[in-house]
Amino acid sequence: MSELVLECKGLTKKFGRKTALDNIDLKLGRGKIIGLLGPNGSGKTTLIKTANGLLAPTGGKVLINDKIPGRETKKIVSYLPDQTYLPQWMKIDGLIEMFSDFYADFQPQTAYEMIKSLNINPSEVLKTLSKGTKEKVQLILVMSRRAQLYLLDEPIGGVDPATRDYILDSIIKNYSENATVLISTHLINDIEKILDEVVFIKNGSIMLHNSVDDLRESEGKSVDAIFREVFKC
Amino acid sequence: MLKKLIKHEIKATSRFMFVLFATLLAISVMMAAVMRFNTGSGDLYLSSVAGRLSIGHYNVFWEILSVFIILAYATVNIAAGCAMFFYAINRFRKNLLEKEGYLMHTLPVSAGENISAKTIVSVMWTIISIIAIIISVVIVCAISVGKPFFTNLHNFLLSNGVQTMLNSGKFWIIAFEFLICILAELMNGYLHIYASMAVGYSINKRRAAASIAVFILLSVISFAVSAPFVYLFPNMFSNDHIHFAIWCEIILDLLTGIGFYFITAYFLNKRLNLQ
Repeated sequence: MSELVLECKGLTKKFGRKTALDNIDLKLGRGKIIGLLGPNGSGKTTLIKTANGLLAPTGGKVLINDKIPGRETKKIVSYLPDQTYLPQWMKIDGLIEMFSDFYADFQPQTAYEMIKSLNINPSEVLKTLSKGTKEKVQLILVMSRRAQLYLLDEPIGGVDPATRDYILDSIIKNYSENATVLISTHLINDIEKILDEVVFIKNGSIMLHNSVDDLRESEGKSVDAIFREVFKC
Repeated sequence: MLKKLIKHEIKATSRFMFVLFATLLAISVMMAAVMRFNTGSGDLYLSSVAGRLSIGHYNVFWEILSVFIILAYATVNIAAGCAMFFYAINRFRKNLLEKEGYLMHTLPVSAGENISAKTIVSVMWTIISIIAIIISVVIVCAISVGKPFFTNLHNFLLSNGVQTMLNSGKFWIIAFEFLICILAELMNGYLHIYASMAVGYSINKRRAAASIAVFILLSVISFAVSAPFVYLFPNMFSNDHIHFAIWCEIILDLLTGIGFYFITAYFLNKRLNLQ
C-alpha cells in the first residue's frame, strides 16, 4: 500500500478558456483530517470531482492509492457532494440496502445506529425530510463506510450551528483509523479544531499545504486568521 | 455489479410501470363492460348493473360514459406503448446526467455497466408493455364477447391454414429471427437516445435541444451506414431473401448500437457535466 492516499501531479483542469485547476502538485498521506480551504470558485469542488473521476483532467493526473480514478478507486473512496444527490423517492432503509449492495466496506449497523440516534424513521421517504435531515442522512451513509479516503465537499455549508457540530462530531467518531478525510470548506472557524493539516487553494493553485500545529506555531495565529490574511480581497 | 445495477433499476422503474399496468387492466375491464353493453351481447349482465345504477340501455349518461371509457382505453393503450420511451429518457437524464449522477458515477461500477443496466431494463419493460397491451385486447374480447370468443379462437387455431403454418419449420425460424430483430431494434433505439443525451448534456446550456440535434445527426449517420445495403441488394425484401433482410437489419442494429454504446461511455467518462 502506497504511503500516499491521494497525489496530484501537474493536475490541470480547464473549462473552455477558464482554468479551474492550474498545474497542481499535491501529496496527501494517511490517517489525517485535512481541510481543503479556499474562497468560492477557488477550485475545491473541481479538485474533489476530479479525484472522484467525475471530471477528466485536461492535463497531468490525480492518483488515489497510485491508481487513476476508476472502478477500483471508487471502492475505497467515500464521497459527499456539495448538494442533495440521493434519489428523493427512496426510503432511508432502501438507501442503506443500496449502499450495502455496492460498497463492500459499508456498515449497515453503524448507519442504522446513527439514524436511530437522530430519531429518524428509516422507513421514511427522503423527499419528506427537511433539508438539514437529508444532509445528515447523506453524511451518515458516507461515514458508515470503512473507506480509505473520505472526500467531503462543503459538509457544513448551509446548515445550522447545531447540525454543524453533529456533522463534525460524526466525522471524528466514524472515520476509520488510517483513513484520510479531506474536507472542503470556507467556514474555517467551525472546522479548525478538528484539522490536522490544511491546504489553501486560490484560483486553481495551491497556496499553502502544512500541518495545523506547524502553521499556528510559525505564524502565531489561528488558521482562520491566516486564511483571512491570505485571501484578503 | 451489473446484476445489482439491474436489480436497483428494476426497483426504481417498477413503481411507475406497475401503476401504468394496473391502470391498463382497470380500463380494459371497463372497456369490455362498455362493449358488452353496446353490442347487446351482455344484456343480462348489464341490466343487473344498470338496475343498480339506475341506468338503462339508452340512457344519455351511459352513452357519454361509454364514449369516455373508449377514449380513455385508447389513450391508456397508446400511453402504455409510448410510456417506456419517454420514461427511459427521463430516467437516464435524472439518474446519470443530473444530481443523482453524483451517486451513480461514484459507485464502483463502470460507465458501460450503467449504460447496459439502463438499456436492458428499458428493453425489458418495453417488451412487457407490448405483452400487457396484447393481454388488454384479449381481456376486452374475452369479457365483451364471452364464450364465443374462446370458441372462435380455438377454431381459428385449429384451422388448416394456421396448423400448416405452425407445423412448418420455416415459420418458427422467421418468428425467431423476427424476435431477435425486435430486440436488436429496441436495444439500438435506446442506445441511440442515450448517446444523443450523453453528448447533448455535456454542454452547459440548452442541453435538451442539443440532445435532439445530436439525435437527428446520429439518425442521418445510421441511415448513411444502412443505405448501401439496400442499394447493393435491391431484392432483399422479397420473400426469397427474407432471412437475409432480417439478418442484415440485425447486424446493422448491432453495429450502430455498439457505436452508440461507445459514444455514450466516452461522454460519461470524459465529458460528464453534472448540474
